[in-house]
Amino acid sequence: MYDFIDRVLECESGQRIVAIKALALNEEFFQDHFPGAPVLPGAMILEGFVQAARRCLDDPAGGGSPWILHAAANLRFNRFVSPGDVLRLEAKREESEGGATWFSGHATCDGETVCRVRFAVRRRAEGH
Amino acid sequence: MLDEQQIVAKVRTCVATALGKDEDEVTQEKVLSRDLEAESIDYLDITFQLEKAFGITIQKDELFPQKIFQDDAFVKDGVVTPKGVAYLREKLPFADLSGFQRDPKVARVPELFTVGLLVNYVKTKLGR
Amino acid sequence: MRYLLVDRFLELEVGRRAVARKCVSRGERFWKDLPEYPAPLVLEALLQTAGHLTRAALGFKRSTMLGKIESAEFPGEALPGDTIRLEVNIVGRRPEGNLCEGTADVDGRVVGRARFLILFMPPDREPVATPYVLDRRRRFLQAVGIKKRGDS
Repeated sequence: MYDFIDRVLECESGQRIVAIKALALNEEFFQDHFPGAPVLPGAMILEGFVQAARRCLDDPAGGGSPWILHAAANLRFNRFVSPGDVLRLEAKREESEGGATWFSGHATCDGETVCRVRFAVRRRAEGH
Repeated sequence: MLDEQQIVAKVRTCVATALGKDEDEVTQEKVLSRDLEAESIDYLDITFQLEKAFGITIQKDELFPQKIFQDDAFVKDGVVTPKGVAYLREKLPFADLSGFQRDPKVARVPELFTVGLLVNYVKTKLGR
Repeated sequence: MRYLLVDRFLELEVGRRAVARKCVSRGERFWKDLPEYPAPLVLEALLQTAGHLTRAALGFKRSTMLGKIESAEFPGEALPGDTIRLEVNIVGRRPEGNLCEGTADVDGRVVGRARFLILFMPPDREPVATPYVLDRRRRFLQAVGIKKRGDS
């Protein structure tokens, strides 16, 4: 997958991770979202959180993460995020419910909250 | 015809769905913003849920009068003017403004919006 | 990676419902080392289907944006070679936008489900309708089968 994470700032393995993504106008998806008014798509922020959660749960040296997005709830934005911004993603693991691992995600830009979401990852089924 | 209990139950479900909360948390005295973490998009979501649940149409500004924050005549130096209070009373005839009027800071307006206020609104709308 | 995640509209009932499809291919330039199509992009395909459906009600004269995702689940995975069927129903309609429910499935196997708000773009963010913008919009609507060749 498109590598959303540019740098990991903090990582408490299995519990919490802080990472950043720099937004470059040069990235192709901005051409379509939206033409003349580039804005980071909300679904990609969610993908960013999933990638951050993977790094939090996996051994970074290991290959092929087994974790995929299982569910998301209450994804809300405070403002648009655009090229020239650097997005800071923080994901904190919550108490687990059932088979999936839940996180709360908080994205900021220059210290200002831009997005919050709760999301869960699960292990990919055998055979894939 | 819905009775009071049914109206309360449906309003609680609407708010719980919109805010991603358990229904147990959504009790009548709770303030949407302060106690249930509602943000501006959530007020619109609640509006959608109420319309759907009760088969009503809610005009813009009918339930959550945004103009109180936008009109200069209604707010001066962070305090709601008498004209502003009159506007709130006109828009929210089912609300108890006595507590607010003792200290009418505009920052306190969100405190008026409790789950109970929504119940009163629905009752008024359904002709009770 | 480009970001046009709906390939073709099969049905479009303005103000009510749309059915579209999206092919999943290794040719899409983002595959790294994971075998399945990323769930957030399945979600995006549903959001884009809903966006086009919402814009159709105003003749595609206004733009839309994502307001909020209430909930999303991804019970299954989509793989290269799969065709995802995207169905979106409008369950609430207001001047600000629509509350939508969408389901994405591959041969009846659900790979994604979501409830979300699609809003019309605030007027100060609406792109100016230059001939280039209008032409680009028309070409896109033709490409996905919403408009036919020769439609304005």
